[in-house]
Amino acid sequence: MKRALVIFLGTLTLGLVLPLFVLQRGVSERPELAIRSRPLHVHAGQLLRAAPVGQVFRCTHDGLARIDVRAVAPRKLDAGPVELSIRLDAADAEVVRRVEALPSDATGQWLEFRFEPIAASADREVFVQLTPAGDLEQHPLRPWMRPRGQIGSTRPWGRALAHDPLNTLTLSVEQPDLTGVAVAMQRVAPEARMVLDVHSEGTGDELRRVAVTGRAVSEGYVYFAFDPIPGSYARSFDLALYVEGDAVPRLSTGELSAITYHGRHRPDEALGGMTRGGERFDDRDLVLRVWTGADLGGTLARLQARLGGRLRWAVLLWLACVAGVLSLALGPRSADPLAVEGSEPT
Amino acid sequence: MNRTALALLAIALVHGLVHTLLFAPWMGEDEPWHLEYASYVADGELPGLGRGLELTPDDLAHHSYSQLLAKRRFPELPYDTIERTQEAILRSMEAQGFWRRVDWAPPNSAARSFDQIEPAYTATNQPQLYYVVLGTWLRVFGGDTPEGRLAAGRALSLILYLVTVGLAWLLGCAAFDDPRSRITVALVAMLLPVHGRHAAIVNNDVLATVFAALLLVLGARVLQQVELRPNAGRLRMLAIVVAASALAVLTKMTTAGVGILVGMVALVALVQGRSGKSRLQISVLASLAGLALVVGAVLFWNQQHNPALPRSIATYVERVDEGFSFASVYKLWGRFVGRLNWNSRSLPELTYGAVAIGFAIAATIATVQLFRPREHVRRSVVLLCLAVVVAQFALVFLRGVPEGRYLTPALPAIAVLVTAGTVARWKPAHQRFEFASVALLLLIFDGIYLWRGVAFHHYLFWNG
Repeated sequence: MKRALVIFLGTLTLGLVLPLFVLQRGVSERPELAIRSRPLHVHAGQLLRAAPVGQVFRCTHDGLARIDVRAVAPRKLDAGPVELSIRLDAADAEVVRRVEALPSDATGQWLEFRFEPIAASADREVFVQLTPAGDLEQHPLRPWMRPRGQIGSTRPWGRALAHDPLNTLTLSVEQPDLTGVAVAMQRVAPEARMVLDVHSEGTGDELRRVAVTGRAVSEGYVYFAFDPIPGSYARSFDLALYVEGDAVPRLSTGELSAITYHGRHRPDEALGGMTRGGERFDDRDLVLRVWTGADLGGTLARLQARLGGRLRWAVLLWLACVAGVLSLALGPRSADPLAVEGSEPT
Repeated sequence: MNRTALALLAIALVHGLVHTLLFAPWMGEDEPWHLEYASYVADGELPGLGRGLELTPDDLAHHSYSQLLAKRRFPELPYDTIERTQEAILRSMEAQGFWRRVDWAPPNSAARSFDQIEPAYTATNQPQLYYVVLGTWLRVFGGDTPEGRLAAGRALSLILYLVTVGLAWLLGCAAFDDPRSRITVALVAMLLPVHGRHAAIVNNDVLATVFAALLLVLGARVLQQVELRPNAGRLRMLAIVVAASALAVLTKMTTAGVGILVGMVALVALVQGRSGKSRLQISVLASLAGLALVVGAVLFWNQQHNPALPRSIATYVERVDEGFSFASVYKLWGRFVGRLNWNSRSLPELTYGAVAIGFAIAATIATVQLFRPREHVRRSVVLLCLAVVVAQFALVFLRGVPEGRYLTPALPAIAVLVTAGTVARWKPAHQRFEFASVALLLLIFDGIYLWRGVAFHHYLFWNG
């Protein structure tokens, strides 16, 4: 009787309390929304007060309490804190939270912005923007962004600056559906105009042309997205970037520093795209995490929703497994837990 | 089969089902590639045995690399069938949330070939045996959809996992005379997460582990024969060991270490007890046969484009450097203990250190115990297991690829070592506390893996 009770209590402890405990421990780290893709190659450039970068997303739960932004910083960073402002429902709505965080000079850091929870955040569209804090016009921290496609060919961030208005790059492409090119820029003034032409190498046929204006960037990438080129696999392309006004590309071995993107990815429906100044882009997102606080009930509800009926079976079978092992482990005092007979070495 | 063995198999079945229920579709490493390979067999094609088609740069201009590699293994297979198969699997992966869970895979819902996940990667350069078995199984039970075939393939993995647990029990019976030690061997083999996940995913390691376990049982029987019945049936045993080794290596190269070690044990047993000319003749003949077998295997493998064999000395040296680096050892251990979502994510860091300490203590005590005769411990079997574990680690280091699942052929041997270093170090009458503690720790470890690892990362923590 005593043994049965111990097995029963042990089964409850290991079968139910242990899973709930380890899940609860994890809950405090559970984000509502997270971009986890890696490696990261493309950042949005320095933070500019005149053209802040941001992100739009829909919050699915109440209690929005924290937003982390992944960023890269120069080696010696002493520019002070950065500020995150939050608006609900519209880009020009009143700011409901404004919070500062001090970045370190660690690469790949998550910059954490914690604030008083927004009680009614469920099903609201959230607009966040990053700017330098205080009176600074510019901050050297560069938030990472993720174009919604697959990385293809890469040319590293170049050291040289282009002085001509026309710069080119010939690329061999190993993936189909070329759909965008991120070009490294030293600076782009708001009034500058940039035109990217994609030509088929050899024939010289112009396949795509993208023109961009009014996009201020300082030491970051400009992403040129276009309709996918389906037959891009195992082909070479000539890229040509024309700039008018104050826009300076960076060069790697005399050619544009650029990264190609391929295909279209449908991310989480809650992601509404990145913003820069007043523009919103549905082909890229800032790399961020969104937290709505946590409770075990909410976590279990999400687990139930995503696992369905399998969760109940998994729990029941796990309980049975624990009970079975404990029955063996807490067997009678004799040397043989099941009074094994006839189990001589075969 | 006795009551204990049946009870252990019943618990293993239940345990394997928990893993199967919790593991999200396509979350076993390389599952899409394994299923692709077996799907061609299920559709009536047989993999080639030779080098296959020679690929030219012109081929690359028209087909993606992984599709060319599949064509090389199945020369009769039309390209459009390969493209359709890959695309159907990719659509299923998209529908089942593959890109939400695997952080390193480039997010691309529109992917049409496997190269858009990992360029130039394939399973079709793996040995054929597992895929012939799985393909035949899928032909009967798998249906036509990738989801149906995945579920059927995972069911086969569950069965093979049970076979391994059964073999681990037999190995425990050969190594120890007391029931608690024997049960501990089976429990370790059953509850270690690295093996539990084998039950839940489509992978060739699961069959390789069956053959490795079988070889270990055979090796233990050879050692028992040497003690109990001199010269009885040893030639037949050697032949069985050679056959089992061949099947193991035809499943996966990671079993080579176990095969060679057990083969050597069988060979030594064969010549032991004989004298003079007969002994010399058998030694020479058997050594030549063994050498021919090894050379034949290497030559055969060289024809298979198998990535396990380096193509040059420089590559080999590079691999060894890589294999013995600290980063590689750290990665290997992490993956053996358990990483999640195609090695994208981890358990709480403390778990890896705690398990390392536990294993190190058990292995050290087991080694020390080898010098202390005990009635209920067959030290020759424990020594064989220790040699197999050391050889398996060495093979993985020499291969230079720190995959934890490459260690699983040594899993039953690891179970024996853990048992020898814990429960079996006590006399049978004094094992109760240690036995219960080991079982409890195994359950806690597996519980953390299942609920903080699998459930958490497969279903709660998604990539946006």
